[in-house]
Amino acid sequence: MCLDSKQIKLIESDVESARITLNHLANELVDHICCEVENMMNEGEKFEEAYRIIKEQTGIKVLQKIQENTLYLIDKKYALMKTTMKITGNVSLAVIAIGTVMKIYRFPGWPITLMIGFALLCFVFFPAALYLNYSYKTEKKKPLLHLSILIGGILFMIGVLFKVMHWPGSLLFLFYGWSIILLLFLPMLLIAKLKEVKTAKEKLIYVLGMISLIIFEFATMAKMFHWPGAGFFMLIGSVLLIGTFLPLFTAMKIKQNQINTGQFIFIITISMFTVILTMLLSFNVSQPVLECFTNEDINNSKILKYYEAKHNQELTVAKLNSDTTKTSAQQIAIIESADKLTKIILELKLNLVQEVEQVDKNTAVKLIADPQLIERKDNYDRVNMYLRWPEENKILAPLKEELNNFKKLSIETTSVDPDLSKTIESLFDTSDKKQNEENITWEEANFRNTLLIGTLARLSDIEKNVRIVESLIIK
Amino acid sequence: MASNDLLKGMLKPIILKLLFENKRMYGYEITQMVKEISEGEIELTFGALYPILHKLELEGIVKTESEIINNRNRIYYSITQKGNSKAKEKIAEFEDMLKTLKIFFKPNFGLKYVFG
Repeated sequence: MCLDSKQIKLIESDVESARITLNHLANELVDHICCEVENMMNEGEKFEEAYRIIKEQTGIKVLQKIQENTLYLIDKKYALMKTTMKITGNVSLAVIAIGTVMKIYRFPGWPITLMIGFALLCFVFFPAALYLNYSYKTEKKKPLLHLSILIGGILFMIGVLFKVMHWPGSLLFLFYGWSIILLLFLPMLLIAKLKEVKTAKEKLIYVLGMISLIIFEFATMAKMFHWPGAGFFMLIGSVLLIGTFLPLFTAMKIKQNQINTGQFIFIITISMFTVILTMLLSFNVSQPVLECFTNEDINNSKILKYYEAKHNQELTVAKLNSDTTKTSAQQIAIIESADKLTKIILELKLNLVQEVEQVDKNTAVKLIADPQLIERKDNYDRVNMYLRWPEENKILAPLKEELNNFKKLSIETTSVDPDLSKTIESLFDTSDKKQNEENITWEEANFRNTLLIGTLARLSDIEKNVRIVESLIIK
Repeated sequence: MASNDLLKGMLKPIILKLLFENKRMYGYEITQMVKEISEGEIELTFGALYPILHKLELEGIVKTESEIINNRNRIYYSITQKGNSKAKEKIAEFEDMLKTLKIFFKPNFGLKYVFG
């Protein structure tokens, strides 16, 4: 008994979905399956039943495995690439995981570990995987599709590394990498996918999936760049992705017999983790921490206001009595130094807020007066950028210098009160410290990788201490 | 039925021998013939067959020709002129190996060897 052309077409389309590209292998597999089915039909089975039984033994995975085994045997380059991909994929992930744990526990050597992991991932695994995918592609090759994910992916991964290492420029890499993936790669992938699927329902499912993925990825990007509305879009994207696309997609795949129980469990578990992590990310986890800093800054400002009012009073009195013995020249110098410090700190705060919030000076003044209104309280990238880490920090130099001057003047005046001198010494200690056998400067200890709101609170704290000491001395 | 471990390495000479004797064969035909001759003892799955055939083709030992049979493409394999001597060589090598194995697995060969 011979199969008719309709039956052969069905078998051909099933083999086609396994993406068998090797020269005449697809023809052979179709012929082989046809022969098997015909053999069973000769023994009395109907076509549908015979093909169902044969299909169980020759599913897509089996056919793909045959192609893979053939490639392994005939193409040394393929075998080498595949082995490289497998080894570097596993090794780079393990190295990155170890590097992350080392970073968390501050073990020495974490930067080099992370860098090796990322380098392997970016420059060996990723290109090897893409090369394999590209060179042994079934249908027409799509160089732009592969090129876009190669460049976008590498830029993105470098961005992640820079971000983790707190190197400047991380946002730039992330921005370009993400943009290429979102605006070039994903739409092109959708178009390619739509050409492959046949029914309108399948097309709809893929369009829905891609749109939700783009929304979700865009929201994640927005979150990282502290754009407004990120949390909202992230929720919408994940609900669409996990709540709508995923059930439809898995139902479709199960119906087409292209998914087994193991894969189903895997998909569900991964989705569950994604949902939970996304929810954690979309709701600001550091909110209580931010509030704590904000309150500290507000409280400092309140104390400062009291002392500033007092200071103005004292200044007037001091100026009046400048020719008498009551106010010495030293005290005047302290008052002047404190004023200078206030000016420096205000200038720093204004510049920081302008830089991070991207606002004009007037708005910055308002935001400093009411830090609750600050949007990007948790930003530290731009703070770092403004303070020009990791170069030698010049922006903070005037503050440190004036603080030392103030300390020197204050200690000279309070030499009769050793306790007060000691307190002043420790309050305004700007010397380097040892931390985990590393030398940490005062600037690093106080301002490096600190959130905007934390930096503002720290500056207010310094100002407050200056005013308190000033007040004590003038008295 | 012969286990897969045992079959590894034997399949290539078996396929070559069949092609040598039958001149022109297609994949399914080879699997069926192996099954028939070995009385079901050796099962040559198509997963094992096609990678070997493609490797032989790449080495130039066999060549393919396509023909439309029953509304579909059928790929026939035959040994090339260049591959003829190589195939003979392989088959001979395997036959030698079989002879050696036979001596090895003669009844009580080990005991005779020990006790003279």
